[in-house]
Amino acid sequence: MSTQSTATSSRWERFRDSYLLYSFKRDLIAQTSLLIFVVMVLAALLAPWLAPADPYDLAQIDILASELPPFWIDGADPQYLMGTDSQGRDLLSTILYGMRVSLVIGFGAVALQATLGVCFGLLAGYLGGRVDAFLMRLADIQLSFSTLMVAIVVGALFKAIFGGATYSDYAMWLLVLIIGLAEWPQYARTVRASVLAERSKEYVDAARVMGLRSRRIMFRHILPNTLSPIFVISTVQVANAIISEAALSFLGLGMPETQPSLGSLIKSGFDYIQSGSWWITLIPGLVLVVLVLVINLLGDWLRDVLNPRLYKG
Amino acid sequence: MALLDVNHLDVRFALRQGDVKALRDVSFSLDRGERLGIVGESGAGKSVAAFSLLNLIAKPGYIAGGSITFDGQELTGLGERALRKVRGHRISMIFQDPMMTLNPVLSIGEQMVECLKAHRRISSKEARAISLRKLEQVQIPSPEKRLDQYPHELSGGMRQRIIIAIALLLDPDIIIADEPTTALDVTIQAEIMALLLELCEKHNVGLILITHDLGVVSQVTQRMLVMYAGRVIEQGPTREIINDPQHPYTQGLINALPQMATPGERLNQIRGSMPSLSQLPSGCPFHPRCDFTQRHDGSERTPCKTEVPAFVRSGNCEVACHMVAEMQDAERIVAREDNS
Amino acid sequence: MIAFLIKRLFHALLVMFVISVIAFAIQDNLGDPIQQMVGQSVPESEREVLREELGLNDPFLVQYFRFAVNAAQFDFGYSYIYNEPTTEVVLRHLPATLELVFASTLLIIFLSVPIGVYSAIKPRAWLSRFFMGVSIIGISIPVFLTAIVLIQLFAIGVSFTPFPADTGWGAWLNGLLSTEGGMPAYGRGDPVHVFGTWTTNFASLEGLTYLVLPAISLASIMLPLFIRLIRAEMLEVMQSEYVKFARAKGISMRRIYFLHALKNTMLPVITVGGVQIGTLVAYTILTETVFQWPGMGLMFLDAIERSDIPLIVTYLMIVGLIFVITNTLVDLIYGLVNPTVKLTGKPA
Repeated sequence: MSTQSTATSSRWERFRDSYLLYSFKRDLIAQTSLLIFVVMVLAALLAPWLAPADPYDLAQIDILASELPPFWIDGADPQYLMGTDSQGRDLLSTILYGMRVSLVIGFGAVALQATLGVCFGLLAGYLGGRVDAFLMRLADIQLSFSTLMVAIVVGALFKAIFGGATYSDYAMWLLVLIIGLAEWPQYARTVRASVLAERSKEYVDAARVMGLRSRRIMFRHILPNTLSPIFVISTVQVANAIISEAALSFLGLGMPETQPSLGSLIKSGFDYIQSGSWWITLIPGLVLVVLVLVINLLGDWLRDVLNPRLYKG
Repeated sequence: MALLDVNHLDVRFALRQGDVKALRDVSFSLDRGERLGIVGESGAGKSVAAFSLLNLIAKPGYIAGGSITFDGQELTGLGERALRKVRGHRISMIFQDPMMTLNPVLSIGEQMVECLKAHRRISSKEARAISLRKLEQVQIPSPEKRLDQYPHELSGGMRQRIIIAIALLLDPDIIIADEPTTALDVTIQAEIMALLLELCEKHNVGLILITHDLGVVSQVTQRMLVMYAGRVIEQGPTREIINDPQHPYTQGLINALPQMATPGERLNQIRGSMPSLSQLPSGCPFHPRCDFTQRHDGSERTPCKTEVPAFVRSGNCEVACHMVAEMQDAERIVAREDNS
Repeated sequence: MIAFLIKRLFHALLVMFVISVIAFAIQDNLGDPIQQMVGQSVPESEREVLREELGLNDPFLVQYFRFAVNAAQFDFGYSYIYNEPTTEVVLRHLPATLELVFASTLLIIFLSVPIGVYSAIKPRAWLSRFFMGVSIIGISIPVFLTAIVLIQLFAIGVSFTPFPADTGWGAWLNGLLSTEGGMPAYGRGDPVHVFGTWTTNFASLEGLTYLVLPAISLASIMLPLFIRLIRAEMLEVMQSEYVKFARAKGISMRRIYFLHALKNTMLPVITVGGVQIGTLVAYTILTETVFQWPGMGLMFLDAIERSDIPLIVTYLMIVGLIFVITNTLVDLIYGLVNPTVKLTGKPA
């Protein structure tokens, strides 16, 4: 047994000796970012156990305790560490739950984008010709229209089609769908570019000469080689998706106030900023920024380490 | 005194893991109108040597020691502004890949005129006239048209002609050509080389030709140096070295030429590959690949593994090899015994 | 040149066609003009007659053709909210948005180029590191949040008094941490009338103060993006052989940086810029919402809120047209800067 494990090094050993881990150990910013990110994800996942109150439970809300400031300001109630919002919900609990919603939408939307984008990108790059021209033209048009614009329009349409109430009920999945549909071109272009680069290499010719089917060549031979750019844009895209979700929610096209994400928390707090209750909007805002920032920093680090050829422009 | 004198030049690259010594103790000289070849495998430090003459080595690289004297002026430690007066004016360069050397968004004319205007106070009109004349000298068809064209409109051979024209613009004393034909079509290589040789002879311009092509060196240059792992290991008149190489590495290089092989047999090659500059072996850097670290009687020649060989004279050449040194010592002893 | 223009024009028409199909599909499926014209009380039979008269029962293609012909004349019907032609409503809101985008674009261009170039020329200088750090934070802050923070800081004002205010140094430090507030952050104020429906904030100092916070907010998302892009491209170009060759020619560093390198750097930046103009218009929706800036974005959001389908459709068509025009212009500029395009088609 032992001889076998030395002959073929395990995945873990390969990872342990990799450049990825080596450069991670030397990069303080990447380590801190990952730590903060993991803490935030855990806090979001464990929200039902960590949060002092359940913001979805109307019975726990005390409307008399609305707009209480966080603990370091005079007039705070120690029961509410970060203060309360305009409806008297504990802000800390709302933020934890909101972070969960934002993360689910962010990751969900990126999973959808990546699936769509990778499939279309592989098709366009591998098949070429008309399929390629059509898909890339579509991607061009969509990108020139800006992904946020597409998301807003699609969101507005969904809201008009389903009506406000139904939209709110399914907001989380609709947002995943909207942001997923709006941002696939990023993936498609990157994947297509690396497919074109890979396709001309010898090993693909070799696979073809061996008589492998094109689907197999695409998924078993070409796709693995496009993974590192996909990996790098995915981090950036998660950050973008979280921001897009927040933007849509801020415009009233996202999560309803009864089931708030970070974006809808900022929106509902914004109405009270003039009356001096800045914490309702700025504390969730700060959490959003930190979340997006650590993801972006990790993305930056990954790009420097993996240094893939990304699609420019 | 020679026009260009390089003495004990040391160039290092400051990397995170510590300095890597890219050039060590490199010395050579060049007379007015002389043509010198620098030969070696890729990574031997030929290009570093060329670029460090004008202090054009890329960022982590720096000149750590030694001197470069050009026309009585010390170039190391000279400021950017003073160096700029030498660059392109008295010493100009030709780069390896003509497809990458010209700026894609500037017209040929702009790229020629700016060079003239950087060194001489002349009007654009005069500069254009001079540029045109130089384009004629490098035998480019319809030169007036070329001035307003952009690099992408011209073929590789044409672009290298233009780069040669730019190198000649200010009638320099020396041209440093870094593998000027490697990136070109085989059919054009000879043409460009012949043109370069002809122009250098005609205008009495010194040429430092960096190449791995021993054939070209033997045709074009009068003297040559062979580099290995950042050091010069043999230098002297080209003909002498080609006909009678002393250093085992030079011998290997020459034996590896296809025309040296017997038809139907394998080509000769030097075993192993050049060590990375950050992990040089002790002693003579060539010893792990050398077939002569053992004497004829089978005993180990220990200095090969412990001491860097010093130069010894052999005819008009200088060779850095323990074996050559030992054999010379032996001959001298034999000669003395004969005399006595 | 002409071939290039025709090709671009064809592309532009294609994009406009796609947009118009989408817009028409929205109108066809979501807007019921009968409802709007007659209200609930009219019986179904009368509605049917009206429908027939208005041609709403015609085949899809006939209706689309009618829509396209009207669209070409900028006739998209009446807005439910404003009860006037939608084109007029959009045109009335257009200047405010254009001025905002213009002001932000100025900020972006005049800040990103020098900062990007500087941090590429001196990548190790502390100022460059500072710019890079700030720019990654900038990218991570959503545009509406920047706007809210700016309002809190400069319109409402903050006062931090962690230091003893009765000592001279304490008061001074407190003053450093606190901001005055008082910057206008609501609407356009009183813009100067130019002609027709066009009013401008650029003509008076007071008008400009209204523009400051919204323009900074709108620029805040794009500025760091461009700084990073310019820096990255410039760093890459500085490694190129032609820059080395230019140095070997004895050209001054200034000329190398600002002619040889910058011209090549600008090529990808122009391409990205073309794409980002679209994003900028999208972000006006957010900025205008926060600052209640009476532009198209605010109008659009209002139209969505109140399901004013004709107005939504008009907004989409006109914004689409703006995108297409700017993209074509950007392509033209790119072609003029990049000699390898030669304006005949694909890059060589």
